[in-house]
Amino acid sequence: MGDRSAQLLDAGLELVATEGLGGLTHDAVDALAQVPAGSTEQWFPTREALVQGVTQRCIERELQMATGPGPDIEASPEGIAGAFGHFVLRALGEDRAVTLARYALHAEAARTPALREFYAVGADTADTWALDLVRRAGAPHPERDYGIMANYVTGLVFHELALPTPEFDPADRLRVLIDALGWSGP
Amino acid sequence: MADRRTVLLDAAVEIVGTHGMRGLTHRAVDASAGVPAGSTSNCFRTREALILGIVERFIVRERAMVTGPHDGVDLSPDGVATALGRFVHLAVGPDRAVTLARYAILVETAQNTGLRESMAWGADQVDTWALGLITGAGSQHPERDLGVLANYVTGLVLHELALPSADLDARARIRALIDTLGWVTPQLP
Repeated sequence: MGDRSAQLLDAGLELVATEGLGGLTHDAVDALAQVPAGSTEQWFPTREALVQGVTQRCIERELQMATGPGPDIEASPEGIAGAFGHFVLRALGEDRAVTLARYALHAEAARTPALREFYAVGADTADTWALDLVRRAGAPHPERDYGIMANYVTGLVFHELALPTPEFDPADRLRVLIDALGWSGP
Repeated sequence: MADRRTVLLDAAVEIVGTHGMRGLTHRAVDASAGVPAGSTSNCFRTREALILGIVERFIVRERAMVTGPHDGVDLSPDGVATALGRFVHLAVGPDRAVTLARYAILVETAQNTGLRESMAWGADQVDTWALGLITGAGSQHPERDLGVLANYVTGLVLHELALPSADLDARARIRALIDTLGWVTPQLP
């Protein structure tokens, strides 16, 4: 994705996060991204194109948040708890806008089937990566356990966003869950 | 027969679920509930009072989604899996508006910390009730297991809303999760 279009879509994502989808207009993106009026419309001629662009950007950034630590993630219960915990902290902290935008877009996808296709592709990419890691870390039922962990992490971020726990330690929570799932380690 | 207050709050939940928090005004609730203009303002003086009313209404409706029409949950792993499975199917199906409204309000809470107090109160009510339930059903680590189950169910609903599975069996998935948590089935007297 080009730098300029990514810049516009990041601004669009901020708007969706703070004002909901109703706040996402071409003019508002131009203003927030501090680009000449009309720029966003040149890149994304319709509102539909703009919503789809922001959705794709949101998925791209989530994938960056998940794989952030990169190939250095150790395929062990400890390593995965750390990596997923890192994702949770980013989702609540520096990438909070991605999280908030995602809820608005998810709600939109619930009403607009066309947006679901984007999520299906994004979910596949993230799932393939994470499932491989979970398998190598010694999960006895990798598909089941990854399904449990993915939903758990989503719920955890959602609850913590609205009602933060003091001294929240997501890696520790993930470790407790992994222990309950009975992993032996590689 | 639902009282006036409940009628207004259900209309408000429907509005937030369909149009988001931006759609929530006293007048919109009057119109949607089919009551005379000013009725909602009389019952809920401020926007905060209206939102607090919605949070209270959620607690009742979400609990009813778990317990089902007979207002009961069988105190066993199967009973809890059945109850939470029913909740998931209602949350992504017939009670979708409740779910979408809940997300809208949680997002609003994330942005407007003034709402946290009432949300925290609501969460406490639900947690206390749910802790009793899973303890009775055989959980050996109720606090841990409630956290696991609550986050799992929330995540499942969120994913299924955006990306529905062809033939979701939420009850079976939740049963599989409970099996990993090592509950001890209570002996019947």
